[in-house]
Amino acid sequence: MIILFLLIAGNAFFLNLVLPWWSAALPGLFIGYRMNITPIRAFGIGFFAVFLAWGAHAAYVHIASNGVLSSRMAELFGLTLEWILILITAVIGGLLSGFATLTSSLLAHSRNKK
Amino acid sequence: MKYLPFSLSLAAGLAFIWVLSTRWGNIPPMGPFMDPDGGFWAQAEREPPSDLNEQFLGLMDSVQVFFDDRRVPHVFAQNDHDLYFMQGFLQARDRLFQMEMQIYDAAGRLSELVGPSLVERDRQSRRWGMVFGAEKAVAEVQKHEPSWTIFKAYSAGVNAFISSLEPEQYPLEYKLLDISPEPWTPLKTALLQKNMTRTLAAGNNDVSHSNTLAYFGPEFIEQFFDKDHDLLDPIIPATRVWDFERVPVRRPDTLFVPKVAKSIQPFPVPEGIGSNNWAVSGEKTASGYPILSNDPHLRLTLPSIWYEIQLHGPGVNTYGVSLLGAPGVVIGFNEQVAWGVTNVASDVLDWYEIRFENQKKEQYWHDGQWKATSKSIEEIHVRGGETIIDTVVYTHHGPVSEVSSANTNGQSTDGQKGSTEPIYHALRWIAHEPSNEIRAFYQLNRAENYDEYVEALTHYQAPAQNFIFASTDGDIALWVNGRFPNKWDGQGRTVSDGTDPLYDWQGWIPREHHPYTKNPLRGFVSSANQESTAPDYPYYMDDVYAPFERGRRINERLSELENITKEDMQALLMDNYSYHAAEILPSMFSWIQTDSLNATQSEVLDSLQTWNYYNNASYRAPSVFRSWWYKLYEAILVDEYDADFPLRTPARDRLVQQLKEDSNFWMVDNRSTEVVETIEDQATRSFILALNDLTEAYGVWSDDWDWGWVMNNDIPHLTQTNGLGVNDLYSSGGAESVNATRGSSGPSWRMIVELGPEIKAWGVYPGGASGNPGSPNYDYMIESWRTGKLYELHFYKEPPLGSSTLPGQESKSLVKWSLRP
Repeated sequence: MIILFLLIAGNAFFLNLVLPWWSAALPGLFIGYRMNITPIRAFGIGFFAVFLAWGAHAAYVHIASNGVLSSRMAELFGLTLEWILILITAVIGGLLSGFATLTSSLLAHSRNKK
Repeated sequence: MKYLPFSLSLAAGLAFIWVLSTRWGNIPPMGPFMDPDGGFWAQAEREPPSDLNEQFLGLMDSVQVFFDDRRVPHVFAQNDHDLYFMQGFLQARDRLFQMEMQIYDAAGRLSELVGPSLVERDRQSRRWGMVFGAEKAVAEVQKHEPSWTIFKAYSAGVNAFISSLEPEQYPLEYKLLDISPEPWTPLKTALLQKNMTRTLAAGNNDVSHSNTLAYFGPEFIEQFFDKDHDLLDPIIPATRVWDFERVPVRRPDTLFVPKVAKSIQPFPVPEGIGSNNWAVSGEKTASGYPILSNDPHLRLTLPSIWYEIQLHGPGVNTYGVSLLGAPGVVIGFNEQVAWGVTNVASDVLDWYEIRFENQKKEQYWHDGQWKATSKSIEEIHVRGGETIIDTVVYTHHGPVSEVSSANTNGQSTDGQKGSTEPIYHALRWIAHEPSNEIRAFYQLNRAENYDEYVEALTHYQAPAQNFIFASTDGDIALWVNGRFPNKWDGQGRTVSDGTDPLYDWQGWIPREHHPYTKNPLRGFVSSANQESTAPDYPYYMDDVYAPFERGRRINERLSELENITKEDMQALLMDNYSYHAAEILPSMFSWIQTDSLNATQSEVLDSLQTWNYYNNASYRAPSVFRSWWYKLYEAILVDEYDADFPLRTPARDRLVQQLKEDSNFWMVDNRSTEVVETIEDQATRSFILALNDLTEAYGVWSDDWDWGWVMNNDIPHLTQTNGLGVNDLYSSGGAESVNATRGSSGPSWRMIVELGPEIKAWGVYPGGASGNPGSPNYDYMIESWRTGKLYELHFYKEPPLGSSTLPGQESKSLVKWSLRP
């Protein structure tokens, strides 16, 4: 399970470096189909894997850039804390991957039912 | 059925992606925008810039660029093409969005980016013929081969940067607005020049002056608009003798009376757009070398309007600030000369009332015959809306705007009911004359002496500027420079008769008759947007100049100072003295009835009486004085100016003088009340009203009333986007002070140059080299600017090859780009 989690997180991170934002859905889509777990757990793993990948990525950028831009963006969106911005980034990535993992997991379950 | 959960999940996932890929209102597409790799996070600068050694497509020869500690680029090229190619590339790298935004504005295309909210501004830009003027400029530039070469090289440099970008590298604003950059063209550089002309030379009072004349009569005009303030000290010293006969023009016997129009200026020029410059001769300086100083006052935005750069190539080594979108240095210096500019408020924009044959507007009456118009179909593309088609009619005067007259209900411009009588005003404007200002800067950047400076200026047309000059030869000079129509006295002050050729611009003031001064006896030259000349100058230029205050203060200080140093000049740049307050406040004290004040009000008044008239941030007095003056001004004018069409109000300094001469003149009484108010009543009441306003806004009398806060100095982002600007800068200065810092406008660049054998120069602007809000370089000079500090400018005669560190700053090294074709 941890391996699947890391596979999704790692692949999502690297795919995102070369492909547009929605590419973070792809690892969950492939791996979710092969994970033999309940759809709810599949969603959870998919969600938290990219939540972690994107959250860590954004947090790294925030820290490495001394928060110069994240503080401005937080003000732009009317947020008081830059960390909320990181959280939003992480949640968007998480939901993207979560839906993908859930969808493929459901497909696998439906096929196995026959 | 068994695939239902899968289908639902798939649909939800796809919907999620779609929603986050779409722009909702002003909210950018959140998926790509928040993407930690490609979204806004990509613009967060994580590493300092590093050296580069690579092949660079588009160059003709090798080029070196050095970035100093403030990331100012120093470009060393082997030919003109490469020099301006690199300037284009670097400006685009640091400020692409700003470059494009200015051009979208100039061309009347903002609606394409923003949507319906800016359609009206775009429509006005089209009706003012901005592109029409720019196209004429491009045709003119093409006639001069070196100019055309640098226009093309500059564009190629900008485009080299744009084509190197992947979408995730687009500057932040592109991601916020969800747009892409467009290729740059020479036409865009010309449009930038037209935009500057619109900013600086679109001021006019034709309509309001005509209305004021009709409403108040000629005596009122004479009293408030014809006389100069006694303390006015013109730019060209009044002692100058004009030893020539003016070129005559024919004038009409009686002045045309236009219809009373309700049009308001679509591009108003607020006070605060003005500037100072001065140069002192070596006889007055401690070093014995001339010193030149310049601070152009403009709207303050982030990124800053200016881009600092050094350009070194065959026959040129110049340093200074450039405009984003144009090759060359606008204000700066080279190894022999330095120059700077302030705006000239000459009247180079006139409105003509047009008589069309009929509603088709195909013919108009002029010089006793019907003449054909031409038409331009303008398509305004609107983001998220339908394209708007607008037909702009052109006469020989220029493009025509339709305005409503005052005896309709004021709803007429859209053809609504009640629009019985639209009025047509044609625009005659200097921006529509063919010109090539870039050539003037190209030559100025290379000028070696006074004669070459004068020759360079012959190519400069608009917006007219007071070009100040100093050289290592020891010369100082100032030319009131631009192209000025040769007008009869008062021509174009009111709306002109579009049918009568006597109202046309009949020619130009010959260059040799332009006002200028070289090495005057007083040992300095200066300008602060005040009147160019004393009244004996043989030509009529305009009646609207800045109040006398800054100009007089500068001239008094420069007269007093001896053994002048850079520090003296720096102090003068930051001089906060208010001549305005010194002139009127003692009278206001004599008028106020102290027994009508309560304890707190008396305390504030007592404190104001100890004020030294300096607009310093830490004083509360400037806040009180400004509010009090505004209230008094309003109380005096409010009843007389009760009209529903635009009228001209007296200038601040003129009203002050009137009050001092006759404090109970006819406007002081408020005619709408039964009692007769005296100046004592008005001064007392306005003082109390002012304190009430201040208390409401800032609480009880405390440090919160400090002028530094009350002047409300914000520097917003170009798009006014929250978070991208800097707010509440605690600042000194004022509209009437040499340090003309006031809320959101003021000195956009401060520069001092000492012209010894080795040029020494200092400068600062409120911003930073980078236009990226994710760069620490975006706004880092603001604090120095706010407190009046200047940076020493690194002016290299040779590429700094031997040492890669900055003089005196051994730890900070230069970043070096070595580029090969």
